Amino acid sequence: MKKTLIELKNASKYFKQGNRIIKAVDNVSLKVDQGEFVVIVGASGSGKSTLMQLMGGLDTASSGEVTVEGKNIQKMKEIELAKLRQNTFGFIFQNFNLIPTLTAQENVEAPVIDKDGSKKAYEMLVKVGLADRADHLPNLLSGGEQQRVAIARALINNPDIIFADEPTGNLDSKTGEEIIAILKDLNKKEGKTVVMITHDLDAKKIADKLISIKDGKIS
Amino acid sequence: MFYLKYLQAELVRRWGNTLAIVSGLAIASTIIIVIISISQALSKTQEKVLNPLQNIGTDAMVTRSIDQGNNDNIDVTTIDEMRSENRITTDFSKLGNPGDKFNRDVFLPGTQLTFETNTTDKIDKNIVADYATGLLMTVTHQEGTIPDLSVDVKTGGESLEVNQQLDDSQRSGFRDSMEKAQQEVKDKGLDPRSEEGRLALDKAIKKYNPSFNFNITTPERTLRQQVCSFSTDVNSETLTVAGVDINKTDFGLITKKDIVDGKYLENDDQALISKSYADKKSKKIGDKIKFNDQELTIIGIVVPQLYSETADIYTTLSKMQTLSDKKDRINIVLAKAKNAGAVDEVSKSLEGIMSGAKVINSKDTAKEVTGSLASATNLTNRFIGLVSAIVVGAAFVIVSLLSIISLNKRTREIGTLKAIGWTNTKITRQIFLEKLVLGIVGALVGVVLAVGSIALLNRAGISLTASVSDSSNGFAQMFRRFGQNNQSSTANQIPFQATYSLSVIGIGALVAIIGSIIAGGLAAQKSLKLKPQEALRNLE
Repeated sequence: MKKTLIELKNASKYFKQGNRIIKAVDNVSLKVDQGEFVVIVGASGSGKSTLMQLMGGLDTASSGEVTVEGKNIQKMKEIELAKLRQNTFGFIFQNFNLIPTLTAQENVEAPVIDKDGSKKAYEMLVKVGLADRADHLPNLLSGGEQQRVAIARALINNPDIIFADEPTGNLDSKTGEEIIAILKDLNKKEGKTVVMITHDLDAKKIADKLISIKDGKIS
Repeated sequence: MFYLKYLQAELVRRWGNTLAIVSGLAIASTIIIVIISISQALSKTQEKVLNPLQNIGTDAMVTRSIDQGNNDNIDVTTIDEMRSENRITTDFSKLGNPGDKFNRDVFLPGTQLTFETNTTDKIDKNIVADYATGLLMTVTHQEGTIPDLSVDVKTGGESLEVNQQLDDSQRSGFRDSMEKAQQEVKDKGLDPRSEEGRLALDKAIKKYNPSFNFNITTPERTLRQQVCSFSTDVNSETLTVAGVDINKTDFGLITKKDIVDGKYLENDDQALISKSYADKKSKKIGDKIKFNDQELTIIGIVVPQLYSETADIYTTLSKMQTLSDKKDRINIVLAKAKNAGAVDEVSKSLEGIMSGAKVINSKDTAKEVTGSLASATNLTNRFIGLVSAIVVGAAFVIVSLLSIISLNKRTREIGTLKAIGWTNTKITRQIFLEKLVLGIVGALVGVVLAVGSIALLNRAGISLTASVSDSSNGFAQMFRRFGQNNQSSTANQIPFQATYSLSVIGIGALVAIIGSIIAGGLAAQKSLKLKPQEALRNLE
């Protein structure tokens, strides 16, 4: 019996824009089980990014429940959420979000608390094949290299769940394929749960669970 | 440690931002330190000016000035001095012939009139422990060529009309010669009334009385001719010279302690010069000074402590008396009371030793002190608070703005940090460290700049003037007299020297550090409140 890691129950997220209320996520209920490769697809502005943010505790739902490993993260204090993000989740973004003043190795080391950070970070870089780029600043790395550094960073604290928000959005198709392949490996070989948002239609093939979103609702 | 790596990375790789913030903090810090130091220095200097006697361990100073009204018992010399009104009369005719070069030194006591040396016999030794005397005068040195003052006055060419009555003897003489002449003509057989006869008569009169004597007094006349102004080739220079009693070396116009180079006077052929005079005229130990025909050798340089009675050159009292032709005369007495509490009693007693005695004691507080020293002091005192506040405020605003701008750029970075699990505390600490380091560096640069600025200011050798406007005070008289000399006299020029104390530097440094932290802190608050996704949404 697979463990449910994330559960959304009637979760909604509203934004106010002047007098209008925009429903980015409208009354969504879903589950993510351990070891699953979940792919969320939808058109631009459909609310898929917001959905992922709710799941990953990066934003709070306006109403409804978001549960992670049995705990309601809506009620959590910021400090607990931080711990969650550090140890349970790993995030990868479309625009990489590396810290521009830190080298690749230092970027990977950033989430770590203990003293072995440096060493661990280097090992992670080796794992994603970027050992020779350890001392480079992000502006000297290609898009694909930067994303791999981001993946290394996301993995360094051995999280249960990897969230990837359009990880191949800023990459060419060949590089994009490489990145997807890495994520696939992480899922199949290491048993990491992956929640990925994508436009990429090929990704559908590798999904264990496919969620389509339109206008904030699951279709 | 990661946080150190991150700290270094942030400050070094965003060096433009770092430089801007450090500069802003440094400038604020520098300005505050310099302003406070200057203000403190001015206050201290003003204190010294207001209480000149305090510096030299004297309790009272006696000088002489004559106001209208108390003119009894004044000796001739003093009356002459009063009359001369401090003017130098140059009688060129006494100096030589036109075209000759001349060179002389004229000694004047100014408003500080002289009195006999033995006046000090009248000092009450019961209440005065000791006293020192001095003779301080201004000396005007004149040098040049005697101008040609001759004037051509044209006279003569006047016509005189003379009308004179003949006297009795002249009339008888004329009658005699007429008779003789007539006789001669008759003898020749001529008729005196005829043409021929008249001519012969004229000739004969001439023979017998060829001339008359008349006395003519020309009318009195005053001839006036305008003398056009002649050009003078005369250079004048004024300085202050004082004679000191070298038997008293630990108190007086100058003391052994005031010597900064060389040694104190030992005999009459020596002189000491003040440091400001030495600097102005580039004179050094061993140089000679000449007054009329007497020569003195400089053997030391002093920094006099008694601001109201400073001279450019000091020599022995006896030599000074000789040079100025004021034998057995002095114009200053400095007195020390036996009992510190009896200073007023001493003052009163000293007032009675001669007419026109003016006594000031160390308790006299300032009358109105004017001049650039007072103006500067008042100005800085009044505005030090305001200026400091403005400077700190401005620096704060600048640093805040820079911090806000730089942190806005980092909003996305802060969002990322949150996404990877950094707590607000951890992020705050990181930013605090950055601001602290910026503050410390800014403080260091500021302190270095401030110390350098003050050193430069001191080297500029600025002098401030101080003069007292209350004319009934002997103190004021002295100042005013020196105020008239604006050449090399240094009497009322007080050198400005600012010093920096550790506490002032500390204040400046703290302003930089605290300013940085507060400014940075305020800017960070905004970013920290955002949820990670809001921060990441930031398109910067």
